[in-house]
Amino acid sequence: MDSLNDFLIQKPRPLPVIIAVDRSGSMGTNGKIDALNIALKDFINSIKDEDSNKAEIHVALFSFGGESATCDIPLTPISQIDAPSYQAQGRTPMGGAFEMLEALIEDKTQIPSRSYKPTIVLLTDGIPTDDFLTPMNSLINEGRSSKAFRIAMAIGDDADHNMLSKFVSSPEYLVLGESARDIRKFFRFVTMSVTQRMKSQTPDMQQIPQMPDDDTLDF
Amino acid sequence: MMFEATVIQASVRGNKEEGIPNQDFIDVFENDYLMIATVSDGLGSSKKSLEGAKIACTTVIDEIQNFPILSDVQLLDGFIKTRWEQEINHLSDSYIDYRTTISFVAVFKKDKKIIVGQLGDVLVSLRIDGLYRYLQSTIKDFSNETDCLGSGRNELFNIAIYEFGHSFDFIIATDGIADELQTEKIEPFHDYLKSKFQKIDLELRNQVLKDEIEEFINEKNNDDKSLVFIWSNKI
Repeated sequence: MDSLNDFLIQKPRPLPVIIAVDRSGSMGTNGKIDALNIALKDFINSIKDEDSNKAEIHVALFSFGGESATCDIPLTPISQIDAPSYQAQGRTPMGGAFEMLEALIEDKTQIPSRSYKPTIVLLTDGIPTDDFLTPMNSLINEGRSSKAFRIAMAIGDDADHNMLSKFVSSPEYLVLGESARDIRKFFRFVTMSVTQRMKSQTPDMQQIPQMPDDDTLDF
Repeated sequence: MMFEATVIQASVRGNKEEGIPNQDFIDVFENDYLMIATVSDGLGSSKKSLEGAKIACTTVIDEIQNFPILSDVQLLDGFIKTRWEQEINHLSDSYIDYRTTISFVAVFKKDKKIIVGQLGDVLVSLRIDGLYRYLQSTIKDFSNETDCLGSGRNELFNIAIYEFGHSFDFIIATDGIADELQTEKIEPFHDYLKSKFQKIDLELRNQVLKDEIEEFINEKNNDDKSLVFIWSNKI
């Protein structure tokens, strides 16, 4: 042991990004699930390029559809992640996803206290079909999870805008989308939010970027 | 036989907006009866937290000098908090602008007792007669959160009293350093500091420590970074 460096944690502080996406049957209409799959790939590839000594982005990916919510990628450094490809099917068990998100954030073995505050990203085009209210209230009001930044996208008029407005941690973090095209725009917004935090001198202060203009998108 | 103690200390400003000072503060006091080391970390979100941090260190030193060693050490908690609030009241109606963590180690030389206090996410690690222990905040949820004076929430210190026989050494470090240390290597870190710095000229020690912090830790986070290491030489 001949320098202070030998006693230090060599990895940067984790900056967790926890994504929960809707893969219910309605996402299969109007190209939404395909747009989601592309947007997730773009998002992961674009933040893989972000490099910092001060923070390492870790991503967890959850989805809800069929009969239950699932953890598709446990919390993992971004450099080790490949985006899955979703098929749209079944109901919208969003409450189950909320329970899984809260369990992850409360677990200090997975998100140690040296981590920056997590960002939760929720995307949905429908109304929850399970009991979502109790787990949502617990996620957003209790314990460590209540301190996360929460961003959401409602796609189309069928999404529960009232519920999502309560879910987000700030009104600017609720993005309303009309079509599949807006899903990619939303994930650009998420990318900008996360990268702003990475580069900020105060990563745990809320950073709200401007929504990207359509003409900056590369379809 | 009285002891001699060696003190090394350094404080490095974090990477932050121009005009914002280093909001950490270190104060070490010594007379024939007492040695007190205090380290405070003013909150970045409080605009006058450096003043709050300085007042916290001064308050701890004053209160411990007047504290009867045979009293219940838990009383110090209230004494320090009340006195800090009184001092802030002379300056402002708002404690929030002055929020700060505060930790200390006080060595009562003749009584051979050590009182340790910690409020917030400052690491205090001690080795007394070869027995190692450390205090670190367990209630912190994420990296830039902490309990502190002026929060209006949890302002209870971790306070403990120990006796010593032949030797002690201790580290107090703010979270800019403490959060980057491997927990299982904190005790070997004591050995490293002692063996390295006792070979360095007295006048150069603090600068060498500052250089090491700047070289190895400054790029890891934007926090201010402060460390005090004190070891006994002879008892």
